[in-house]
Order: sequence, then C-alpha cells, then structure tokens
Amino acid sequence: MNAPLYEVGAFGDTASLGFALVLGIAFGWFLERGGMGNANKLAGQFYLTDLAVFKVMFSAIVTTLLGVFWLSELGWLDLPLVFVPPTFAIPQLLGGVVFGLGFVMGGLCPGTSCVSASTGKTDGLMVMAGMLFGVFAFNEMFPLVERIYRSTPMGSITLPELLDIPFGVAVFVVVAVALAGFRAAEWFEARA
Amino acid sequence: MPSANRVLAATAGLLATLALIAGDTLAPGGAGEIGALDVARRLRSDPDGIRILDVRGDSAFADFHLPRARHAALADAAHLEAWVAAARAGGASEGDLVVIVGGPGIDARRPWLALKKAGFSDVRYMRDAVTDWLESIISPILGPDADDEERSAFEEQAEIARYFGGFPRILTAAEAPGGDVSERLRKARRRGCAF
Repeated sequence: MNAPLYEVGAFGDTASLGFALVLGIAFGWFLERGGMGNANKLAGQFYLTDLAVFKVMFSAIVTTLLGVFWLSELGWLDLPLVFVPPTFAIPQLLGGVVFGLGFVMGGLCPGTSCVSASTGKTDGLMVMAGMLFGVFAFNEMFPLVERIYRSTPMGSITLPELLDIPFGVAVFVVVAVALAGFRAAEWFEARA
Repeated sequence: MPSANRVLAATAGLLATLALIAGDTLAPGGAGEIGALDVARRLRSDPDGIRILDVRGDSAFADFHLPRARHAALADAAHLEAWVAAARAGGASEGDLVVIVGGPGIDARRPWLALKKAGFSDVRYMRDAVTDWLESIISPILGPDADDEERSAFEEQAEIARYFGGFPRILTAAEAPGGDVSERLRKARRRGCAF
C-alpha cells in the first residue's frame, strides 16, 4: 500500500486526528528544543544576527522536498494524491505582509507562539491571544474582504507547473538555493 | 572529520543532483495522459465506449467543454471515494475508457489515480484539455514546411477536426509567422501520439 495512507483508506478520520495530535506535539517539542519559543532569538533574523529560523524552515523544506521526490520516484508515494492547497496570489501576498508585520512586532509566529506559551512565557500567551482575536475578527469581517480573499485564483499549482520545468529540476534549484542560503546565513551570523 | 551539518548538506546536494537525472514523476506524456486527437478518434469511432468527466469548475465547464463530457467537479481536497462516486454518477463504470478532463489549476491526476485505485481498468487524463482540443481539433494548423509524412497525418487529423466542427488549415509560406508555429505543431503532434 502506497502513501498517502489516509487518502488510500489505510485509516479513518479519527485515527488521522490522533496522528495529527502526536505529530503536532512532536513538532512543538522539536521547535522548543531548537530555541524557536524564544522571541529574542526569532527576532534576531530580522537583524541578521541569528538566522536559526531561516535555517530551520529551509531545512524542513529541503527535507520534505527530497523526501517527497524520492519516495515518489521509488513508487512508495502517489504524488498526485498529496493535497496541494490552492494559490490565490494577491490575497496570499497581502496575508504574507500582515504575517510578517505581526512576526516582527511580536517576535513570534503562530506556531512558535504556541511553543512559547506552552513553556509559560507571557509574550507567547499575548501573541496567541492576538492571533485568536485576529481569527475572530477576520471571520466577522469576512463579507467585507471576501472579494479580495477570492481574487487571483491560480488553483493547486506547484513550482514545476508554474515554471514549466521538470520536477527534478525544481528540486535541484530549491536545494541549491537553500544550501547557498545556509552559507550566506552563516556569513551574516559570523559578522554579527 | 566533517561536521554533521556538512554531511547533511552534502547528502542533500547529492540527492538533488541525482533528482536532476532521475526522471520526472510528474512529467506530462506519462502512461495516463491522453491527447485531444485520440479522444476525438474514440468519440467518433465508439462514442458509447468512452466516458468523459470534466472536473473543472462550474464556469469553466459552462464556457466550453468537450463533446459528451459530464461535469463532475469536486473540491480539490475531496477524498478518493468521493471522486469514484462522482465518476459513477457521471455514468462511468470499470470497463469503460474514462477520460478525466482537467485545466489550468485543476489537477486531473488526482481523480485519475482515484479511479485507477478503485479498479477502473482504462483511465486517462487531459491536463489542459480545452487548449489541447482547440489547438488539435477546432483549429489545427500545418506549417508550410511539413514533409509528406506530416501532411498525411494532418489529412486524418483534418478529417476528424471537420467531423467535430473544426477548421483545419495548411499555412502558406506567407502566412507562417515563423518558429512559433512549428513549435506549436510539434507539441500538438506529441500530444496526439500519447494514446
């Protein structure tokens, strides 16, 4: 039986939620152990003094990208069955700007604010409260922003499709950019 | 002794380099893809033996769809069983040739794989079906520099195109705008040979 196991009926909704809980706890534990619950450390990336967030995120992207590609290539993963969230260019660009502003002001992003709050940090709790208020306000204001929210739909598009290049080439380019980025990050950190 | 970071970076670099030459798991023209010309051939010769399921959105389907296509759009995240149920509701059964019609941003490979796993023996998909149909059936063109073999193949394509209301054209040297036409024709021929 090939992955993704949920899609091919290896387990049901309840079990999938159980796996999500276990994976979520593991994810949070690794984030906290990596120092991602510390707002000062996270804010360091905006001053180019501590690029741990950049390195953690790109490491995750490269690991997943290579894993997905090679599992698919070996026939253990049916890639067309992996859900790709649809792209809405303008609203996601605006969302990225709002996300970035919140990140640099609060020093935490949604996931790391949960990690920070779970270790009893007040700033983490405050960012979480702000995030939940934002979710509530967005839903209440949804009719006002729905037109923007649904604008510029591009469907479930991936980089190889967008750039019309083979998947393997996209893998190589992203990994090359990541490795160059790691090198640059270490250079910036050494100068700080 | 190299650090763990350097070993991991070197491993990632090696796997990425191998990915360049390993092939393309998502390449068009794979075993499941079918071109508009082949769909048209089957529609003409055995219209009851082919089921065309269009999984694009409501407005895209209303704007244009292939002859005899049934609309079976679901959310992108729909579970495999939902796709199979939608295909059966669209009249498809396990022994039919089932063609999944997708378009820009609508991945036809997901329902295609769902049906294959459900036991449908002959399932194909069209990634950008409307563009393919318009180029290959509605307005196929042949460049002025085509050789005899290409002209012979185009005669058959032109006959099918006319059957479906298309307007095949053979360009004169004065009408040909240059390299772009040859490239479009090459792509059209590749799609036509996918069946």
